[in-house]
Amino acid sequence: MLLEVKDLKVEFHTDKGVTKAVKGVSFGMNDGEILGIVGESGSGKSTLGMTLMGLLPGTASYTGQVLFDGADMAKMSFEELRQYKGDEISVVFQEPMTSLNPLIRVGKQVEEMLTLHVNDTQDDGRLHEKLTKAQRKERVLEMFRNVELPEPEVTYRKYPHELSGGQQQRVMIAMALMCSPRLLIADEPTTALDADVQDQILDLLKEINRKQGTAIALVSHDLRVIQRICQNVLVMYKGEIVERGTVDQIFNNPQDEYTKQLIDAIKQEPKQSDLDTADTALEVKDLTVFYQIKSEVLGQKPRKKIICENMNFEVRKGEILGLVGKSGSGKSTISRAILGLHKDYTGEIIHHTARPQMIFQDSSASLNPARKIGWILEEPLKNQAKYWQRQARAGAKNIPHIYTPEERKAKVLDMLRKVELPEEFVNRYPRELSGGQKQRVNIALALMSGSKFVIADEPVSSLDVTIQDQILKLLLNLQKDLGLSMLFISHDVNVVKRVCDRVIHLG
Amino acid sequence: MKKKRNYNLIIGCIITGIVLLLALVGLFWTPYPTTQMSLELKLAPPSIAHIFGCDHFGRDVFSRVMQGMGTTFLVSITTVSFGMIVGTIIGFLAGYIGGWFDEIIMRINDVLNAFPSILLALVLVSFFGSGLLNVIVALGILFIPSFARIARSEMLRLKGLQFVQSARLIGDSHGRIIFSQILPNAYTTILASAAVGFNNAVLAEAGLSYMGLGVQPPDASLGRMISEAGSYLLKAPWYAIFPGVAIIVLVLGVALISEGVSKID
Repeated sequence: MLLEVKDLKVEFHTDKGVTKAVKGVSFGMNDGEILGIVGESGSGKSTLGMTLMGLLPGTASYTGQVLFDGADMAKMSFEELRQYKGDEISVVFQEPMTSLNPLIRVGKQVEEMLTLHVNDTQDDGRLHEKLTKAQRKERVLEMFRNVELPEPEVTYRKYPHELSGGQQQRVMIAMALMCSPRLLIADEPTTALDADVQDQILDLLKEINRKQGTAIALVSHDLRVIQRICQNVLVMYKGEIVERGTVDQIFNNPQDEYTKQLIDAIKQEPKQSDLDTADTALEVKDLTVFYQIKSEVLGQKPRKKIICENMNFEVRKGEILGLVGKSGSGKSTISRAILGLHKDYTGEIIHHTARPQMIFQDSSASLNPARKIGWILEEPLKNQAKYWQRQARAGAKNIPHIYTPEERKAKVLDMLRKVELPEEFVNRYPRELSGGQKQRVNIALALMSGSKFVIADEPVSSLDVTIQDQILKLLLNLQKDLGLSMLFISHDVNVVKRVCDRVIHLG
Repeated sequence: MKKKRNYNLIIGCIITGIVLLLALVGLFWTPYPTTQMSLELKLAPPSIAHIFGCDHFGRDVFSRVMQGMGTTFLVSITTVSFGMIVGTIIGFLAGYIGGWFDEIIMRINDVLNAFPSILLALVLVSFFGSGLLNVIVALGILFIPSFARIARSEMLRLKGLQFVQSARLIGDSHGRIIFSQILPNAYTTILASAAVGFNNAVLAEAGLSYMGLGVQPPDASLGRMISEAGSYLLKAPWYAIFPGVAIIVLVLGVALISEGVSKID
């Protein structure tokens, strides 16, 4: 057995008391095994990974045993641990951009692994002989070829920001593999990447496992990632392992209630469209969106950076149109142009419904942190009231009923019920809510002004799978009940298939 | 869940509270009239009857410290409030509007910043004439740039956030976005720097009065007392020490509050 974890408990000591992140977990890993650890945020899966690496912060403490090759890691001295890290165990993190030093060329950073571990006295025939500079570089280039980085010689001299996200992650993997570790811990290695790049990285990990026999512990929230390369799976929930087994067992015959939910959430049937109307809610004709880039030299004409060219599409009434594209393909900028938040475009955007609204991706950032939910949700109504009062004073006819403050409060409560949140949330601050709850508030905010056309920009991509499922169901229900038309932006093909009537792809 | 006590805030409030109480009482009642002179008590050392001793006119130092704290507190609080309100509005507008407007405002700011503040206050006071009101106005103007700069950077940080875009989508006016949506998020930062500003104001007022440009005799001000006490430092050290300690305590209390406010999340 390569790695054995016995009754591991991890606690965090904070100002607010003790949080138990991992509550008694035991499992083992064999040489060359790929083990998936799946769970949502807060399940303790990342804490588990950190413990195995000995990277727990000072506020955490653990009990139980972590045996690597039979040796208890808790009993090791700092020096011994340092030997293990990098040499025997190494790690790949979620965010390659923040894990790489932005000021050092990537080749040098990978080489650092060799310089660090070359002077070690213990000699077991692996990387402990002295290497010359040229030899070290040769090793790095060879590793770059192994992880399929393009033009190793050129890449060697590049800075992290000059590489794409996928390439950065390959560099991280190269660094992790430099000393031929026996165990690789990959903590959400593909979460920050686009779908097709994700697949490439996963294939690479699998290939490394096959060729070098490196055991991999893959920590992920995404069951599809686990399914693609793992042999065995641990399902974690609230700090405990609720189910374990081979990938086949877990996927085809899940026993635990939570596992079933997880599997259900990704096995959704694609939506059957039954729309038969020709009325449009939004028409986009010959839309070209660009950014003005200010010139740094005086007198030079500003340049244009084109985001998309000559787009034509329409959203019919009651339809959910999917807009799919990789990151950087301009999805969000297009939606901002449609909403009038981005002015630099040519072509026509014709709205056939009043007050288009938006549900933003990052549910935390789109709610004012200093205001209570009730205040936030009432704001659109206050603005409407003010608008009509001004109109009335100016002598306009056909003024609709202007809501009184009491009616506005009642409408806020009504909307909270519609998005299935308890009424007492009016007195909560956004930071007191979970991600899924915040996204419900966002949906409520978008619908508050009675808008019939909504743009949803990656509304679920920052949420856990089971929460995603709930939010999507809510969106679909509200869309049907209120007869909304929707432009649904996402990078996730599976989500789009489930929700949308039609899909257009961005290059 | 047990919340960790904010000791900075608590202790700061207690100290400032005591000082304020003394100053408030000093407005209506002091152990001795602040202008009552007496030849035999000239530079009398601290005693039971006069716990802080007496000054060169035989006036009770404790009574004068009480009154002086009131004056100093009033000057500082009005100065800082004036600088904070005007500075915040200017900084917010500069940050929100941006472009040439921002450029002009911030360059004027830089010009004001380029002078040592006490020097500028001297110029203003000698131009308008000395006196309490002029000191307040002069110091108030001096405090605008620092608040404007802080408010502007807060605005730049906050205006790019998504909830501001969201506010535009639901039809908020610019005024409402600035003052209802963004301002509440900047409170702690601005208030924390207001407390630091308060301390500077206390010291600046003391400094100006020390040079004879602030509060005019026979009214008491902590700075003025220290200035007068300078000539008797060796003969009657208590005359300088007690007003000095009063300034230190006042500044310490508010500094602790400032520290505490910035720790509130």
